[in-house]
Amino acid sequence: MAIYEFIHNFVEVLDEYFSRVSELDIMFNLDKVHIILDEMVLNGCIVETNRARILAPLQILDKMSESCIEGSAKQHRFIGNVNTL
Amino acid sequence: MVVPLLKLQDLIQEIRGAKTQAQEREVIQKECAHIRASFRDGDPLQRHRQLAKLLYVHMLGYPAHFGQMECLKLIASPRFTDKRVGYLGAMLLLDERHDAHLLITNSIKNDLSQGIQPVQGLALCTLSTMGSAEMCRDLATEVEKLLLQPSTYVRKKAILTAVHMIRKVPELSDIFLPPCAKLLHERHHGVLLCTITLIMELCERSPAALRHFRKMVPQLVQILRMLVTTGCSTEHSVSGVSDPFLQVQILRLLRILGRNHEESSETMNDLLAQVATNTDTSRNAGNAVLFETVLTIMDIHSAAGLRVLAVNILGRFLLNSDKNIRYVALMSLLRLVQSDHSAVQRHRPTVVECLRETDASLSRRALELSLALVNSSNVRAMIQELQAFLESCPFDLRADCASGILLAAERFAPTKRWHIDTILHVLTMAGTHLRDDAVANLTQLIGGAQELHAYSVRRLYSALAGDISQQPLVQVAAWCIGEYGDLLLEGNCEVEPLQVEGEEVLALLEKVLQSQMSLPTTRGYALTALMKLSTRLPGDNYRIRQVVSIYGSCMDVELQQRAVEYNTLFRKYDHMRAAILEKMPLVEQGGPQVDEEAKESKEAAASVPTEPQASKLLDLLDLLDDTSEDAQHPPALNPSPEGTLVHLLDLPCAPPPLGKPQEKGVLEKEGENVLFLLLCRVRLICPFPPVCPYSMPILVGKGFIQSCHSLLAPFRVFPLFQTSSPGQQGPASSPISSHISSHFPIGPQTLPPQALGISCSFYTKCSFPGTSSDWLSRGRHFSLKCQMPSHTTPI
Repeated sequence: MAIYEFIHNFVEVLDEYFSRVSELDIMFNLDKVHIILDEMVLNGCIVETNRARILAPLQILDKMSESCIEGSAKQHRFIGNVNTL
Repeated sequence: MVVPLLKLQDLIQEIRGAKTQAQEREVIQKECAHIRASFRDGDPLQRHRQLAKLLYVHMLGYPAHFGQMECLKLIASPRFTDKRVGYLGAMLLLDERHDAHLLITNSIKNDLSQGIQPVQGLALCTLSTMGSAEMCRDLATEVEKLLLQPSTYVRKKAILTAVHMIRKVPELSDIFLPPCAKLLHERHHGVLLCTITLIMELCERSPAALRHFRKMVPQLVQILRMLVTTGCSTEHSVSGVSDPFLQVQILRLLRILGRNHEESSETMNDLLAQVATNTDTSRNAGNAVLFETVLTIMDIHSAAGLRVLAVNILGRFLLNSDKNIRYVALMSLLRLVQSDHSAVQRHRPTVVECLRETDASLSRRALELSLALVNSSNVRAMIQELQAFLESCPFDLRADCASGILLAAERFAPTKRWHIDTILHVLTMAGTHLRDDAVANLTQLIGGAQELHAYSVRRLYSALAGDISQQPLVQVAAWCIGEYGDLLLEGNCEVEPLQVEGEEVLALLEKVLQSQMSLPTTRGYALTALMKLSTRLPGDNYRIRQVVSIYGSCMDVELQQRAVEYNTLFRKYDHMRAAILEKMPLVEQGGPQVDEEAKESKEAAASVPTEPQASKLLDLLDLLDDTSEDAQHPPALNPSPEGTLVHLLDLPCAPPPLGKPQEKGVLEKEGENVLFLLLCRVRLICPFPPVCPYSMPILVGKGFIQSCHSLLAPFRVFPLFQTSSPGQQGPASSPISSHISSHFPIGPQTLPPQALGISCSFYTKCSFPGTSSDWLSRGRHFSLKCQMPSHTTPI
C-alpha cells in the first residue's frame, strides 16, 4: 500500500513540474521525466519524496538551458546551487 | 547532402503523426539510419540529441543496440548534457549481459572522484541500477567515501548504491556496516529513508548484522515517535500524515528487528499502539501506515491486547469502500485466523458480506476466509451463507466452494440429517464440480445413519426424479434406491410423505440407464440398483430381468459383464439371489489406506505382492463351525450344503455373511475407476468335497494362485477358483486349474496365532459362454485384503 502512495506522490511531482500533467507531456518530455524518476527512485528503492528537493536540480537545469550556456560553466553553477539544498 | 537533424520533440511529433504501424516503422527506420550515420561521422555536439532520439525509439520497442558505444563516448565527454544522456542510455541499453558495461567502470570512477555533485549523482544512479559484481567490487571504496560526504544530495544516492552493491556482492556488507549508526542520526528525511533501506538489506543478509542493529531499536522508536507526535512539517507530509514513507520504512525495519526477539518487541509495543491510534485514516496515506503497523504487530511478539487491536483495524479496513484496502485486509486476516481465531470471529459478518463482491479476487479471498472461520457454533448459519454463495458464484470458484462446504459439514455437522441435507443440496447445485470421493463419502454416511434411511431415500428419489443430469447425485440416488427400495415404497415416513409405486422407481432407473448424460459408472450403479430392487420390490421381476438381459449385449464392457452376471443370477442361482443382494453392512471407513492399497494392487499387475500388515479387513469366512468363536467371526459358519457364498461385489455393494451386519466381507475400493462386479466364491471347507456345482467361471492369474494358496491354505479357507467347463478353456487356464485341484483337499490345520495381513491381487478374466472375450485384453484386478483374526482357536 505504500507503493500505491508512492505512485501517487510521483504523479504529484510530475504535476507540479509540468503544471497539470497529461500523457502527452510525459511523451514529449521523456528525458525530463527520466530525470525526475532518477531523482526519486534508485534501483527500486525510494530516494526522495520531498517535492521541493526533487525539482530543484531540474529547475536549475532548465534555467541553464534557457540561457543557453553549456560547458563547464553550467556545472559550476549547478554545484553552487545544489550545495544550498 | 545535409539532412537537418531533428530535435527529439520533432521526432516524437512525427512518430505520433503516423497513422498506421507501417508508417510509424518507416519513420523510425529512416530516423535510425540518420542516427547511425551521424554516430559514425557526425558532429560531436549533436550526439546527445541523436542518442536521446534513439532512447525514445528504444522505449517504443525497436532495436537500439547500436547506440551502446555512443553511450560510452558521451559519458566520457566533459559536458553535462552529454553525460546526462550518456548515463541514461547506459542504464537503459546496457546491462550485465553485454561486455561493454565494463568499459564504463573507468568513467564512473573518474566521475565519482571529481567532486562535482550532479555528475556524481548521475554516476551513482547508473551504478546502482546496472552495476555488475566486478564493477561493484572495484568501486566500493569510492562509494564508501561518498557516504560520509557533507552533501546530502550525494549521500542519499551513495547509500542506495551501497544497497545494490550488497545485493550483488554480499561480502561488501562489512564495509558498509559501520557508517550506518552515524547515518541514523541524520535529520534529513531523504538520508534517513535510504539509511533504513540499507539497514534492512544488511539485516536480511546476515544475522550478525541483525544482532548489531537490535541495539538501535530504541533510537528508531524515538524517530518514529517524533514523526507521529510532532506536527507535520509541510515539506514531508502527505495528506495530513507526516512523511508516511519514512514511517512505513521504519515500521518495516522494526518488524525485521523484532521478529523472534522478546526484548525489542517489548520496546515497540507502546509505540505501535500509539501509531495505530493516532493515525488519521481518512486518506490512503494513513491507511498505508496503519497496514504496516498491523503487519508489524502480527510478526513480533506483541501483547494480546495489541493483537486484538490489529484485528480490529483489519476489520475496519473491511468496511472501507476502497477495494484495495479490503483485499489487503482479507489477505492479512487469512494469515491471522490460525493464531487469533476468536478475535477474527468477531468480524465474521463483515467477511460474509464480502462474499458478495463482484470482483473475483476479493470473493475468492472471502471464500477462503469464510471456510476458515467455520466452527461448531456457527456452522449452520455459515453453511447457509456459503450455499447461497455457491448458487451465484463464478464457475472457477464452484469446485473450491463445494468441496469446502463438504469438508466443513463433515467436521462440524450437528446432526446427521442436517449433514445429509447439506450434501444433497450441494450435489444438486454443483454436482459436476465435486471431487469424486464425495459419492463414496455420502454413501458411507447414509449407510451409517440407520434411522435416516427412509428419509434419505425419499429425498434422493425426489431429487432424482427432478433432474438426472448431475452425475454424483444420480450415482448416490441410484445406490440408495437400490439399497433401501423397500423403505421407499412403504410411504409412511412422517417427514417426507411420498407415495411411490414400484413401477415408477423402475421406470426412473431405466431412464437413468438409457440417458445420454449418464456416465458409464452411473450406468453401472443404476444396473446394480435394479438388481437389488428385484429382491426388495414385491411382485414379478419380469421387467427387471428384461432390462438386465438387454444389457447383456451392451457395447460397454463393464455393463455387459455386470448384466451377464446378473442374468446368471436370475437363471441359475435364483435361490441365492436374496442372500447375495441383501443390504450392505456399514462399510468401514478405509479411507486413504484403501486408496493406496488399491493403487499398489494396480501397479503390481502381473506380480503378486504379498504384503503383510494390510489392515483392511476381509475376513474370509472362517470355517470353524462351532460357536466358540469370537464375535468377530461370522457365526454364519453353518456349513450349508451349498457352501456359503460370499459375493464380493464392488463398492458400494458388499454382501455380509448371512444376516450378520458386522464388518465382514467388505471389499473397499476406489470409487471411480474400479467399479466392476466380481463374483468370488469362498467355500467352507471340509467336510465338503471341493466340487462345486457352479459353473461360473473365473480364471485367475497363475502367480496369484500359488501365493494365495500357500498363505491361505493353513487357515483352511481358500478361495475357490472355478474354471470354465472343459472345452472352453483358453490355453492359459489349464495349468491353473491343475494347480488349483492339487490344493483342494486340505485337512484340519491350526490357524496361526497372529493376524497375518495378506494383500493379493490377481487378474480375473471373466469368460462366459456366449461372449467372445479376449483372454488377455480384458483384465481386471482388485485387491483382496485378508486379515486373519488372531483369536482363532485351533481345531
